[in-house]
Amino acid sequence: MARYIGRRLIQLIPILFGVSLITFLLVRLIPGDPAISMLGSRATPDLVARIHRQFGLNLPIWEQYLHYMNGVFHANFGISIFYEQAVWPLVVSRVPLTLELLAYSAVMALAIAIPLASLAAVRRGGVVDHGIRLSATTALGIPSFWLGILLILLLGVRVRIFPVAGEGSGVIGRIYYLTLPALTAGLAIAPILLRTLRSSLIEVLRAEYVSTARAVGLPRRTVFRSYILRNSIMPCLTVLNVNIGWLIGTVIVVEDIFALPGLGSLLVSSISTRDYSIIQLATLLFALLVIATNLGTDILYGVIDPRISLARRPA
Amino acid sequence: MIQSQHSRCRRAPVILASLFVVVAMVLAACSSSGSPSTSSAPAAGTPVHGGTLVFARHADIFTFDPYNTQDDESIFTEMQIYDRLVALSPDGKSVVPELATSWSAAPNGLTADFHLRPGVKFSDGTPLTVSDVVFSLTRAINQQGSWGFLFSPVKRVVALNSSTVQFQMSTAFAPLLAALATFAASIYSESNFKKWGSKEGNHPLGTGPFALQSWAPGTSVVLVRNKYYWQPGKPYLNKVEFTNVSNDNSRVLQLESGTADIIDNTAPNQIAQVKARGDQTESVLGSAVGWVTLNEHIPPLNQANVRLALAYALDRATIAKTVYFGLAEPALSVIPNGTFYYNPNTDPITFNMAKAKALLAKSTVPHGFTLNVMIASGDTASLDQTEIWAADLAKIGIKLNVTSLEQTTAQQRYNTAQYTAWVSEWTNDTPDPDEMMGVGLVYLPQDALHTYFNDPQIAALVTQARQELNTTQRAALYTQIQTLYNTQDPYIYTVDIPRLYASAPTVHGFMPNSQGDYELQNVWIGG
Amino acid sequence: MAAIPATAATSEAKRSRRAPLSWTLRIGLAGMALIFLAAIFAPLITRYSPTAIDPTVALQPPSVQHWFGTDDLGRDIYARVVYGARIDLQIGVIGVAIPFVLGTVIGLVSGFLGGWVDTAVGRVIDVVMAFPFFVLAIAIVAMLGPGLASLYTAIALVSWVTYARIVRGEVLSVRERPFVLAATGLGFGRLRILLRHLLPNVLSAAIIFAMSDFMLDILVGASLGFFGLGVRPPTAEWGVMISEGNNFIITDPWLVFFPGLAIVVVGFFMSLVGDGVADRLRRVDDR
Repeated sequence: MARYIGRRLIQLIPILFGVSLITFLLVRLIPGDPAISMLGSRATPDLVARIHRQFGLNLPIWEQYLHYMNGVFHANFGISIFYEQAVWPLVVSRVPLTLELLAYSAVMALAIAIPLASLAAVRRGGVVDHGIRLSATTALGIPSFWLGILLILLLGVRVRIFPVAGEGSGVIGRIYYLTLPALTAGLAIAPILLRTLRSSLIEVLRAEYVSTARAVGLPRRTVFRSYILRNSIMPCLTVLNVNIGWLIGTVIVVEDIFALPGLGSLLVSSISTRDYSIIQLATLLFALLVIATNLGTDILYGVIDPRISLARRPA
Repeated sequence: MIQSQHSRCRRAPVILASLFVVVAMVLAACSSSGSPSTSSAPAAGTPVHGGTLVFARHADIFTFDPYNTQDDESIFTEMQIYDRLVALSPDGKSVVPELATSWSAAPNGLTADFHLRPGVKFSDGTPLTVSDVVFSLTRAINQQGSWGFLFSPVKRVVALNSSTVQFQMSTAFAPLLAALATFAASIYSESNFKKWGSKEGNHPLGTGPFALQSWAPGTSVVLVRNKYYWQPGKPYLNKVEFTNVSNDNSRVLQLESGTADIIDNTAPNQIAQVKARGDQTESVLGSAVGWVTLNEHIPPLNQANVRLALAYALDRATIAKTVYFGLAEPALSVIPNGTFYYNPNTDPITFNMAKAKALLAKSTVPHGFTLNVMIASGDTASLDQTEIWAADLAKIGIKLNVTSLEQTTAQQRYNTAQYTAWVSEWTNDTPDPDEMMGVGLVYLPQDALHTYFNDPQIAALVTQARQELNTTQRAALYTQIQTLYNTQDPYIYTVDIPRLYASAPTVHGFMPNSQGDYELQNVWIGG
Repeated sequence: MAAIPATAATSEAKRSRRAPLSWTLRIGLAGMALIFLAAIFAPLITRYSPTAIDPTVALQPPSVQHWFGTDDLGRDIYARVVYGARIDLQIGVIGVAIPFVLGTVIGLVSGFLGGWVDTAVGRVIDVVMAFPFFVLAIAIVAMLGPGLASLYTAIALVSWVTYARIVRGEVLSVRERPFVLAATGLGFGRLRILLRHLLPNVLSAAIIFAMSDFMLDILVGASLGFFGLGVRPPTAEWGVMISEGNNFIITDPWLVFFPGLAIVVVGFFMSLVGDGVADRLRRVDDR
């Protein structure tokens, strides 16, 4: 197990390298550069050239990349063209909030999906099942920005239960302030989790080892906990892991609506302004997050399902 | 008519038509002649000292250094921290003293002297000296900076004595006063600037009504009252907190929930609802006008008749009513209606389908053609405006192909002249018409803002007006320019576009000027 | 003489295929058929053109004249929703089909073969999945220009990894199951195991996700509309209608409600179809 983890960690490096190279090239392929975004209609060729020189944008791309990688090895990720400050503290200060929001949203989504999926699977084919599935589909079709505004309107403005913006301080404060945002994102993801979980619960319910366990006389709750739930967790983790991109996309929208100064809102605004250094670092950090989630899920696979021997698996 | 927060209406949205009437009546009752701003605020009572104002804005700031500033939010924040030699008058038509109490120009117009107000202090208590003024303005006029063009004929700024500065110019330069009222000519502390080196953009020290307390990038900027401020009794507020709320709907909801006291960039369709709930709105016209910029290198846009036909087929009144909910006004000149020497009586282009048809008939494409129009995605107003225009153009055989591109991508295409028609707007940085005309109606240095418009007569008049110090004669020149413009029309002007703010009923004295400066030194929070 | 077991297996399989369609599947297919027909025969069931503007009747709530109300330019929202179905059904089908096929094949092969193939594919998947979608989407629009083709490209380039991952994950857990090991032990060829035994089992998970994906693609169109991806204005499309109606959510909610409802309705019927198909696949494999 330890060797497996070690191997995966080493593989992290080429992946991050690949992501950073692709991002570096990609943003420079997009029409318009930071000078254009900054100057707007005032972009005379002289002014544009001056800004290019100031930030090294007039150099050939390979040379720019060398400077960038050189900086990275010295833990210097560049200067923000717009804020004229070092990029690392600017970006990293936004990460904790986004992580907290992601975790909270995932918890919300599971808290909604697991009980409902269990209910639907156990009462399969009945009215309850269809009702839950209809609600899930409806929830899936509601755009998250609409849902967010609706929740603010209903629970923050008309009835003042939750705050409508800001991130709060302290553990309790943070949980309180992030409840509406996490609920919005969680409701967006829960339907997908629910469908997959329900489907795999149904399969497991009909599996042989379940009927065997029942026939042998094990109590229902033991059967459910030890066999059914355990074997369904994996598809759940898969779907959560697989949809991490969608979860991140939803969190970005949620950060915008609730005015949360997280990594997502920084990435979106820096794309519009073409602030290359911020885009590069923020993308890298999101990539790191996704990879870490993948690794975590794979490790959990190995822990939960002993049939999958990680040692044998080619990593 | 004081309304408390708790008694605000929470009815579901009312029928829009009746609200139009209410809005129109309120606007008519509150607007004073000559003032480009209208507000539904009640008449001010006695100012109350103290309190924190929370102002939610749609974007973050980037810097406090005027030399590098490009975005509106940084500009308006700087105008609260720094003062300038002169300021825009309340009616928006001229300039009044601020850090300079009087000024005079030499008869040949090549030098101008400004006398400084005595006893002014920076927010840390140190006195303002003439060398701070010289230092700040020397930076401002630097042609390497993006705002140097506002001061192009100015060669040097020198101190004549401890209370007088002199501008030395290569030619007479009438726009100087207006330029000195802009944020680009902000006065800041020389020693403070030199102390901070490369970080100077984050550590401002000025003489304005507020000083910087803290800035958390992405979240908020907190300003604190400048107790050494030279205007007695002001500012009333203790603190101002600018927060960063990019989502339009969230900003309005923050106002409704009381989280924010003032919000900017309110969507026109939400103004009626804001008012219905008992909040106030401030609609500021004067510095922005909508344009459709035409690339004359692409036929048939090289023919004035075609451009004019397109312009006469634009139903400005319907656009002002439908797209801007009555808050915009049909444009009557290529410059915004708050610009100095603006003249609405130069036979402006109006909505006239018969004339459009007749003009098109005189061109090489009498039966119409296909026009490619570029708009920035996410800009619903431009899109709706273009749809209305397309419906009318179809009647004379002109078909519009609309391409919606991301903002910076579209900007890049425009800057490299890879566009045919570009729906955008012009916002004055200074209220002097020379800014727009200097880049827009003169061929060099930017190909007349990438239109390739080249009319030597108009260009000569623009240069002449720049050097004309007599205001009456200058007015006559600009009238002549605007009249000639309406026969050529390189930029189809559409409507004058308002800046829309909304504020809580407890906010008093909030009246941004026509350039968008908040002037928060006049604001107080009361019952 | 070995016909006896073969006949029993064959007739059982035949019986499954001849089994009547479940009610889930029937309702789902009927609903989708209705929606497709509505899209095809749009001119017959709408009174107004989806693109004709009339500023004098702008922002009217639903009424007898305009069943879904009008938008900010006075266009009939019902007509726009019905005509919009043409584009959105296309987006859903193409936006799902291409990644589905691509991803399933890659995931199947990768999971089954294992070894360095699996490693390489796994890493490619990692890099693609690690990429924030917005960055990629804008770059694609910039290079290919705006329009539907760019939208499909952006979706295809990113979506296939989801299917590949799901299928690969399923393959990993299924291939250790007794019946697969038995088949290998019996000497069945690798391709046969792949197609006859693995595929039906792993497909159900992919199909179930595909049904959600259908809706997600349309919703993605809504947010990418802010970046210029999608149909050329003023063509009606549900996603763009939602993003353009953003300013009116609070004051005139019907602009966003009805296209949203359309997406939900389509999604609901698609989910029924998906569940029905998945059930059938499970039944075939249940011996």
